[in-house]
Amino acid sequence: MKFLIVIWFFIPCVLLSQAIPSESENIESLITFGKDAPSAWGDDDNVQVFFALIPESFKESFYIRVFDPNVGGFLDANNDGIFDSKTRFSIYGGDECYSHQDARKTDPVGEFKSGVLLDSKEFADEKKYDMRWYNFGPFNPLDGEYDQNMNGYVFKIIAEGFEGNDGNLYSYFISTSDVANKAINGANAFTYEYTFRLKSKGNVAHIYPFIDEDVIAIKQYNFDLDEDGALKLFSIAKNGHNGKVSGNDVWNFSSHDILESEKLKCIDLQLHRNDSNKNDLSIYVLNQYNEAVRFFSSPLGSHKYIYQFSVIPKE
Amino acid sequence: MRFPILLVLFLISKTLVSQTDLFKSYGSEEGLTAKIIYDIEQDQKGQLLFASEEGIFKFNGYNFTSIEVPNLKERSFVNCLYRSNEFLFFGTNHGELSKSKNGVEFEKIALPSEFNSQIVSFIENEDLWVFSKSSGCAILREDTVLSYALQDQIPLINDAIGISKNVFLLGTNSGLLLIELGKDGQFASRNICQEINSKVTSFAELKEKIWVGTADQSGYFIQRESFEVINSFSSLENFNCSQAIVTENNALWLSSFNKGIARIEGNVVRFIDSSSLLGKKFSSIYQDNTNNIWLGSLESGLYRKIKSPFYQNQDLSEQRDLINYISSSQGKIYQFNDHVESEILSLPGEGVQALASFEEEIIYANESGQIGVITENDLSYILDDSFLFSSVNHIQVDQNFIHISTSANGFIIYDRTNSSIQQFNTQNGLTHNEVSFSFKDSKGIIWLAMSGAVLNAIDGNEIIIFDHKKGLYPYDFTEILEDEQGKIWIASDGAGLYSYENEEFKNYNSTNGLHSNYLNSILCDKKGRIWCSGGKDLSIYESKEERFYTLSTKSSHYDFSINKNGIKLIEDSIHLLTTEGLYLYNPENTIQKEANSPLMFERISINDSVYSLKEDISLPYGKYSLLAEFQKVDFQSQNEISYRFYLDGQEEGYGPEFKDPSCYYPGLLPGRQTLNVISRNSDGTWDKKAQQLNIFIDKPFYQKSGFYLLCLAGLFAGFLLFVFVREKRNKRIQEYLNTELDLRTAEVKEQRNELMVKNKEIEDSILYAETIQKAMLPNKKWLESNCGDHFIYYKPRDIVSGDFYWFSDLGDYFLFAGADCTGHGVPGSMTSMICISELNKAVQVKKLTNPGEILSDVDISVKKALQQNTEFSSMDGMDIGLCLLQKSKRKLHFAGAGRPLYLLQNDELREIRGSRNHIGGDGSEKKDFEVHSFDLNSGNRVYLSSDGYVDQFGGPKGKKFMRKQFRELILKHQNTPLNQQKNVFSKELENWKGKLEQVDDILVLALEF
Repeated sequence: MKFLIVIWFFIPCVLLSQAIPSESENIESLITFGKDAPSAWGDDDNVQVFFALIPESFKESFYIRVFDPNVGGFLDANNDGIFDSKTRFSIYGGDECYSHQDARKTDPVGEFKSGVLLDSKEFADEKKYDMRWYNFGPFNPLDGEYDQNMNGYVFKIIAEGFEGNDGNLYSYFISTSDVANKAINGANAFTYEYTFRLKSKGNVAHIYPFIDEDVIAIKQYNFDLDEDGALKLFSIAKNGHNGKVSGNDVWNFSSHDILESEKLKCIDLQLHRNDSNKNDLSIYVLNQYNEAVRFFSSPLGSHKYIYQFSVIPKE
Repeated sequence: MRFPILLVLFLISKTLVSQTDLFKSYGSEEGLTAKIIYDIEQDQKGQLLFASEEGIFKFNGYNFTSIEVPNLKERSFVNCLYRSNEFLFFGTNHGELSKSKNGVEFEKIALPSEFNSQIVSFIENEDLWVFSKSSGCAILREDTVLSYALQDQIPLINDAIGISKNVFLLGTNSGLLLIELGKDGQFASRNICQEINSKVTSFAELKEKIWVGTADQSGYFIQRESFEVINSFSSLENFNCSQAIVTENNALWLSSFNKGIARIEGNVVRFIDSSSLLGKKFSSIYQDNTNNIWLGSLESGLYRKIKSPFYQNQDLSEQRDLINYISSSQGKIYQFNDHVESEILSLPGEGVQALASFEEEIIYANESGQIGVITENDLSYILDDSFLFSSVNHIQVDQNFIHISTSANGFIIYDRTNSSIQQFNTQNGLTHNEVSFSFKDSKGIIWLAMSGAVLNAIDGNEIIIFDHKKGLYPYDFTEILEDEQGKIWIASDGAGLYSYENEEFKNYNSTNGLHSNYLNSILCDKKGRIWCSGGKDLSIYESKEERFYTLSTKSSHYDFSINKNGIKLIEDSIHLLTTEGLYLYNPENTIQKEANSPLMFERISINDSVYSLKEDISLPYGKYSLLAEFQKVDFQSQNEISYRFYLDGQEEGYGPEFKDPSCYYPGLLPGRQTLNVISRNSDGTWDKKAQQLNIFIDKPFYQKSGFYLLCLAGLFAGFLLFVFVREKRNKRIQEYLNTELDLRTAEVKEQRNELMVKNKEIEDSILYAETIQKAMLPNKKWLESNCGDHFIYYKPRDIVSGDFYWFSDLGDYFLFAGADCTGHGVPGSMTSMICISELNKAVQVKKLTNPGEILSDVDISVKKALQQNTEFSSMDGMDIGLCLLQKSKRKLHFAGAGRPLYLLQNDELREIRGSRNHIGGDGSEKKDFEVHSFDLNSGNRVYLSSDGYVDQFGGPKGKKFMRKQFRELILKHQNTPLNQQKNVFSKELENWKGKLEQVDDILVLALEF
C-alpha cells in the first residue's frame, strides 16, 4: 500500500518514464546478444525481460515500441563481420505474466515466459527496421496482468537472442501512438536484471533499484564490467557507497545495508566509467532473502542524499 | 446577323467529380460511451452489436444499450463477435467464449483452461471453428467442443480463413500458414507464399481472391487455390490493416490500426479522407445487411458511412448563380456537356430567358427579343424581334425547327432552312397566347402547356384542346415528356402528374404516393422511371410496380430545392439543378427497400412483466396493460421510420402513424387479440404484411362455454335430482296409492261384488219386471193374424220401458195405442203398468170406445192411482196416441194426449196433433181429448210413436232427429212394406244415433189398412 502512495506521490517524476532506458538512466542502449555470443561480451543469458506498468486509470490502447529491433545496420554489435543473429521480441500479458515467480527471477529459467503471448516478432538483419521504431500493439491495458500493489496492468517484454552471436542494441518506448513516442501518464517500466551498453567515458549511468519496506540489506551483482570505473550507491542515507566492480566475463557483488529511511524509495546505483571502449554488462540486485529487486526506468522517491547533522548544545 | 462575342471560358476541368465520403459519428449523445470498438456484428433482428472496452453495446437505430456478458473472468472483455444463424458468439481477450440467442440469456462455452488467449476469428467451415491468438482452435458443436492446441508449431495467429473442410489459412506473426486437420486429429501445417513473411493481420474473400492485410508489409491479393500473389499494393505498406470487408459492389474496404480507412476498387487504392472521421486508428470495419459501412475506432468510438442518394459536384458547388440561369438573369448560361466536363459561358447584354442545346449548338433567347445560336467560337442571332420574342418561356429544338413558347405571342415555329416563321395563337385556334412549355412527341404532335390550365396539341394543322372536359384538373402545366412506350407524361402545378395513352388521361397525385401535387419538373430515365420534382422532394414512379418512391432532398448534409425544369438526364446520370448548385444522383446509395431489416417486436411487457416473443401469449382472466416495443432498423434514416398499429379485438383498424416505436394499451379485453404493427420506410412505403403478436386472455369463468355447459349440466343434474326426488316421492306415493288402491280395489271389488250381486238381483228383478211388462203388452201375434201389414219398433232404453203399445180388439172396433209414460226404466215401466191397467179398465170394464173418452177416463184413473191430487202426488203420467178403428166403416178415430198421429193417405202424410193435455199430472179437472176421425182407404197407413225416436240425438251435429225428418222418413219409405220398415226405422235410428247413447225409450207403431 505504501508503494502505491509513493508511486502516486511521485507521479510527476514518472510522467515521461516510458522510454527504456530512460533519460535519467543515461544508458546508451539495451543490448541482447545472440545465444552463440561469448558471455564475455557482457550478456550472461542472452535474454532481457522487462515489465511495462500501465496505470489502471489509463483506458486507451497503447503500443510497445522497439527502436532498431533488427540485428544489423547501425547501432548493433557485430561479432564476426556478418550479422547473422536473430532476436525475438515477445509481449506477454494475462494472468501470471508478472506474478509467476519464474518471471521475476534474474535468470531466464523455468516458466519465465509465463502469461499469455500477445504479440511476438523475430528480427534479423532487416534494413526496414534499422534505426526505426517497430510497434507492438495496439494493446488494451486489460490484456495485462493486474497488480493491485502497483495499481496497474503489467505486460512482460522478452527479448531473446535466439540465433547468432551478434549483439542487438535497442530501446523501448511505451506509447499511446504508433507514429511518435507519446508517453502514458503514470506508466513505468522495470526489470529484475539489466543488460545494457554504457555510454562512453565521463558518463555516469544510473540504475534505480526499488527498496521495499521489508528490505534490510541488498547485494548488487554485476557482470563483465571489465573493472571499468566505479560503482557507487546513492540514496537518502548513502552518499556514494562503493560497490564492488566485476572484471571481464565474471560476476562480482557487494552487500549493502538498508536503513529505514531508504525504504520505499529507489537507490541510485551509479556506474562511473573510466574507459571509452564499448562496454556491455549485466547487473541485478538481491535483497536479504535472495529475491530480485526491481529496477525502475525512472526512480521512485527521492534518492538524493540528505546530510545528517548531530548538534550538541552547549551547556 | 453575326456579332463578335466575348467568350470567356471560366472553367474547364478534367478532374473526377469527387464524391466526398461522409461519416456519422456515434457517441455519448446516442448512448455510446465507449471510445474503442473492437468488433461489430449484427443480430437476427438487424440490430448491431459493438464490442468495446466498456463491454457490449447494442444499437437499434435509436439508441445504444449496454449488454453484460456474464461469468467472464476479471478484466476480461469481449473483443470478437460472430453470428451463426440464430446464435451470437462472444469471444474475449482471455479466450473465453459465450453464446446467446437473444442477447439477454448467455451460455458459457466450456473450453480447456489452456485456451486463454485472445479470440481472433470465427469460421464456419462446415463446423463452426474458433481460433485464438496463441491457444489453438476449437470446433464448436451444439453438444461438444473439440479443442486443438496449435501453439507448439504455429506462431501467433491474427486472423484465419477457411479454405475447405478442415483446411484453414492462418494469418500469423510470421506470414501465411496453411493448416489441415488430419484424420489422426493432428494438424499439419506448411508455410505458404514466402513473399508474405511478416505479420498478417486480416483476410477477406473477394471472388477467387483472398485479401491478405499485413502490419508492416504491403497488402496483397492472393489466388485462392495456389496462394500465389496476384496483386500487391505498395501504397498500403505499414498500413497495419486491422479488418477488411468486401462491399456489395465488390469494393474492398480496409481499416487500419494507424492509417485510417482505405478502399480498393479494381487495382486502385483510395484512402478515405474525410473530415468527419477523427483520428486514424480503426480496429474494425463492418457492412450490415443494408449495406451500411460501420467503422470502429481505437480512439474515437463509432462511425457510419452516410449513404446519400445525392452528392454534389465539388467543382461546381459554388456556381449557384450559373445553375440558376433563368431566375438570376445574370447574363450567363450554363451547358452540361457531360458529368465530367463543363463549360461556362458569359454573354454580354441582356439576361437569358430560355435556352436549349442541340448537337454542338446552344439556342437561347434573351430579354431583347433575340434568338441566338452559340457555337464553340461564335454567337449569331437568327431572330431579332423585340415584340415577338420579348418574353420567351421555353425553347425546344427539333432538327431545323426551333419551337418557341412565348408569354404573349403564342407558339412559334421557326424553320431555319428557309427562315420562315409559323405562329400559332388565339387567332388560329390556340386557347391562349401564353404558352409555357412545348414538347414534340414521336408521332410529330406538338404538345403545348397553355396558360389557363389547358393543354393544346398541334397535329399537323389541327389544334386539339385538352381541358377539364377530358378529365384535366384546373391547374397549369409545367413540363411534358414521352417515355419509351410512347406514353405522354405531363407535370402539373397543383394536380400532380398525368399520363396520356389511348386518348385517355390518368392522374397521379398525393393519394397515389406522389410526394406533392405541385410539380415543377419531370424526367424519364433510361429505366423508364418517371422522376417528379416538387422542389424539396423527389418522387420516382416505378411503372412496373405502379408506385412512387420518395427521395428527400433534405438531410444533415444538404438541403436544396430543385429548380423549375431542373431535372436533367446527361449521359445516363440524373443531374439536379438546385438552389444550392449542381447535385448528382447516386443510385448506389439509394436505400434498397427490400434489403431493409424487417419490422420486429423488441420487447413485450404485460403488467410490467416481460414476455417471450417466441410464442403467443396466453394469460388467465384478469386486468392487463400491454406495452409493446418494436422497431424496424434503418440506420440511414431511422428517424423517418413511422409506425401504425392496432389491436384486433379492441380496434377496427390502424390508427394514425407514430415515430415512437412502441404502443401502450392500458386495458386488454378478455379473448383473443392480435396486435398488428406496420412500419413505413423512409421512402414512404408501408409494410404490406403486419407484424403480429397474438395475446389470448382467458374469459371470466362466467363467460366460458364450459361454464354454460356446467350450468346446463347443473340444471340437468338438478332436473335429474328433481326427477329423482319426484320419482322417489311419486314412487312412495305410488306405493302408498297402490297400497291404498289395493285396499280400495279390494274394497271396490268387495263392493263390486256386492253391487254385482245387487245388480244381478236388480237386473234379475228388472228382467223379471220385463217379463211382467211384456206380459202386460198385447201379443204381437194377434196383430199378425188380425191386421194387415204392420210393424212395432219397440226399443226400451233400459230393460223395461216407459213406452208401450196397446191394442184391444172389440169386434168391429179395434183400439190401438202407442204411449210414452214419464220417465223410463223401472219408473216408466211402473207408470206404464198403471196406464195399461187403466186403459184396459176403461175399455174392458167401462166399455168405453170413444178414444177421447177413454183418454179422459184414463187420465182420471191414473191421477187416482197415483194419488196425484194429494199432497204427495207425483207428476207422472203419459203421452199417448189412441186410435179406434171402426172396421166396418173403415173409419179411424184418433185422440191424442201429447202425441200425434201420422196418417199416410194417397201418398200424403198428415200429422194429426193430439191434445196438448197429458194423461196424469196435476190438475183435478176433467181433461177433454179431441177425437179426429178419418175414412180409410185401402193401403192407408197410420203411425203412432213416442217422442223417443224424434228426440234421439245424433247426426253430424249431434242434434235431435226431429219430427220433420221423421215425416220424411215415412214418406221416403211409403212404398216399403211395413214389415220391412221396422228395419228401415231401426237402421235409420242407429245411423243417426251413431255412438251416442239412446236418450229415451223408443216406440214406433205402424199399421196399414
